[in-house]
Amino acid sequence: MDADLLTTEEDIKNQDSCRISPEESGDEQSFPDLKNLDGLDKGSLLAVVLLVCALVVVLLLPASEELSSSPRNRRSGSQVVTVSAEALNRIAVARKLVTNNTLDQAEEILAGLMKEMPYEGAPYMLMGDILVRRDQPIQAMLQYRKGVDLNPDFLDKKMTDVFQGKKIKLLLNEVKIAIDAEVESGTVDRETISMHKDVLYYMLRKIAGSCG
Amino acid sequence: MHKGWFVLMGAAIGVGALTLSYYGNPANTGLCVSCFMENTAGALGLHDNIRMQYLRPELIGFVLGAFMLSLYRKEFVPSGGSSPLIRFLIGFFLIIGCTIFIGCPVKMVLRLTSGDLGALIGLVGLIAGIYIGLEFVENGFQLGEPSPQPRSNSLIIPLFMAFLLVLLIIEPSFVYKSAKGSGALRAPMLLSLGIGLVIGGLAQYTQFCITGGIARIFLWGPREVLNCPRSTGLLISLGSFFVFATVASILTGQFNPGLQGQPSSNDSYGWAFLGMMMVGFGSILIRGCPMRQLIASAQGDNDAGAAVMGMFAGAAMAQNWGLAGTPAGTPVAGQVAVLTGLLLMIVIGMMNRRRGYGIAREYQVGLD
Repeated sequence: MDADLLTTEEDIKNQDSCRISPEESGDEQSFPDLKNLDGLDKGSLLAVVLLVCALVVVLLLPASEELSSSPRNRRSGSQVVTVSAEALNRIAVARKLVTNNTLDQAEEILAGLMKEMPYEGAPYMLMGDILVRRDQPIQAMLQYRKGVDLNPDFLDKKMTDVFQGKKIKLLLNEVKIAIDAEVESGTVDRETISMHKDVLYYMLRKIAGSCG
Repeated sequence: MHKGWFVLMGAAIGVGALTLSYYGNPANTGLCVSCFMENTAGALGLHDNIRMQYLRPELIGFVLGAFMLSLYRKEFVPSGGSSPLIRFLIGFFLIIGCTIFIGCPVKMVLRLTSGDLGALIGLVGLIAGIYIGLEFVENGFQLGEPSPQPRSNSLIIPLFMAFLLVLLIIEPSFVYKSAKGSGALRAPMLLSLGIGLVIGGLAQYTQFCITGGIARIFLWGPREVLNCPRSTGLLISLGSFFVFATVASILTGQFNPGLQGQPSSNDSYGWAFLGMMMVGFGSILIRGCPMRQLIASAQGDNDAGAAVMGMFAGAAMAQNWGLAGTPAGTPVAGQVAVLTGLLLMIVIGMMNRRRGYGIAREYQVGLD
C-alpha cells in the first residue's frame, strides 16, 4: 500500500474514508486478551511459535558455529594479509614451472605454500592451472573455488593484473561436460555429483557478478 | 491523472535501470535501493566492506527529483508522528530482507526481466508478505495518524541527500570509494544522477510503489487486473515497468534466461522467499516499499524519513554482521535475522491492532 501524499494540513485531519471508519476513541492497542482471540491473533501466535522453533533449530545446527567468527575479521583477514617477499618469490617460481609444464615440481612447491599460507589464494589458482593441464577440469574448478573465495580479486574485472575470469569461464564449460560424463558413467556417487554441480553453479554466479 | 503517466513511470524505471547496467552498474543491478544503500553506507564508513562503497547518485537523484517536483507542485507537506521508531525498526528489517534475497523489489523485477527464474521465488515471497500485511491492515492495524510537523523536520532527508551529492562531487578523503567489487561497477555519475532525478520526479507524481501495486490486486480483486486500462495506476506502472525492462534487456543483450549462474543470486530459495516475504509484510505495515519510502521522505513525510534512516542502519548492519546473501547462499546470521525480523513484525502487528475495526484512516489515504 503506498504512502500517498497528504496535500494539505486539512487533509491530514479530515481524510475521507472509503471503508470502515474507526471511532475517534476506542479500545487501546495492546496484546490480545487470551480468552478472546480472533482468527488473526491465533494465526499470529502460531506463527510466533513456529518462528521461535525455527530460530532454535537454526541456532542449534552445526553451521551456526560460523556466527561466532566475526565477518569483519574474516573479511579483513582476506584483505589485509601481507605475503612475505620469499613466499612471493616461490609463487613466481611455481608459476614459471607451470608455464613450462614442469607440473610435479610446481605442485610440490604449491603444496608447501598452501600449508604455510592457507589464507593466500594464489597457490590454489596455480594448482587449478596444473589440474587444467592434466585434463582434470572438475578438480581444477574445486581449486579455483578455494582461490577465488580467499581472494575475490581473481574474478574482479577491475583488477586487471590478477583477473582470471575468462580462463575460469572457459573451464566451466568443460566442467559441465565432465559432470554429464560423471552422471552417465554411474561410477561417481550422487552426493559427489551434487557437490560438483553446486560448485559449478556457485562459480557461474560468481563470474556473472553480484551485488553482494 | 492520465493513465499515460503511469505507463511513462514504468518505462522510465525499466529503461533507466537497464541503461545504467548497460553503462557500468553491476549486472541485473541497474537500480536497487538496498544494494545502493549498502554502497552509500559503506562510502560513509558505516561498514568496512571495501567492495561495497560508493555514494550512489541514483539514490540521491530519487530523493532530490521527488523533492523538487513536490515543491513545484506544492505537494511538499511536512507531516509525521506516526510511530517513527517502529517505522525505523521495520525499515531496518526491510533492507535485511532485501539483502537476503540480494535485491529490493525493484531489483527483483529487473532480475525477472533479465531472465533470472530464481527471482520468481522472491516474487511469490513478496506477494505472500503483502497478503499477510494486508490481513493485519484490514483487521485494525494502525501506527497512528500523521499530524502536521514543522517544515524543518521534513527538510532533513532532502538536505542530507544534497549533502551526499556535494560529497560525491568533491570526493573528500573521508568518503570511501571502492576500487574493486560491485562498488566499483558504476555508470557515469551524471547519467546515474539524471536517471535518478527523472525516476524520482515521476515516482513522486505517480506515487509509484511496487508493493502498493500488488496490494491493490488483493484489495480490489480480479477486476483490478481484468479491467485494464481501468486498473489503478500503480498496477499499470508495474506492468509497464515489466514490459519495458524486458524489451530493454533483450535489446541491450542483457537477457539471459535460466535458473543457474545468474548474477546477484544464490540457490537458497527458501531463505530468499522468507526475505522477500519480510519485505512485503513490512512494506504494507509502513505503507510503501523501500523505494516508496525514499520518495515519500522527499515530499515531507517524516515517518517515511524514519524508515529511510532505519534502512540506512539496516544496510550498514547487513554488511557489518555478515547478514547479506552471497552467491554461496544465505549465512546463518542472515537466517537468524530473517526469522527475528518476521517474529518482530508479527508482534508489532499484534500489538498495534484495534480489534473489531477495519482499515485505519491513515491506510485509506490514496486508495484509488
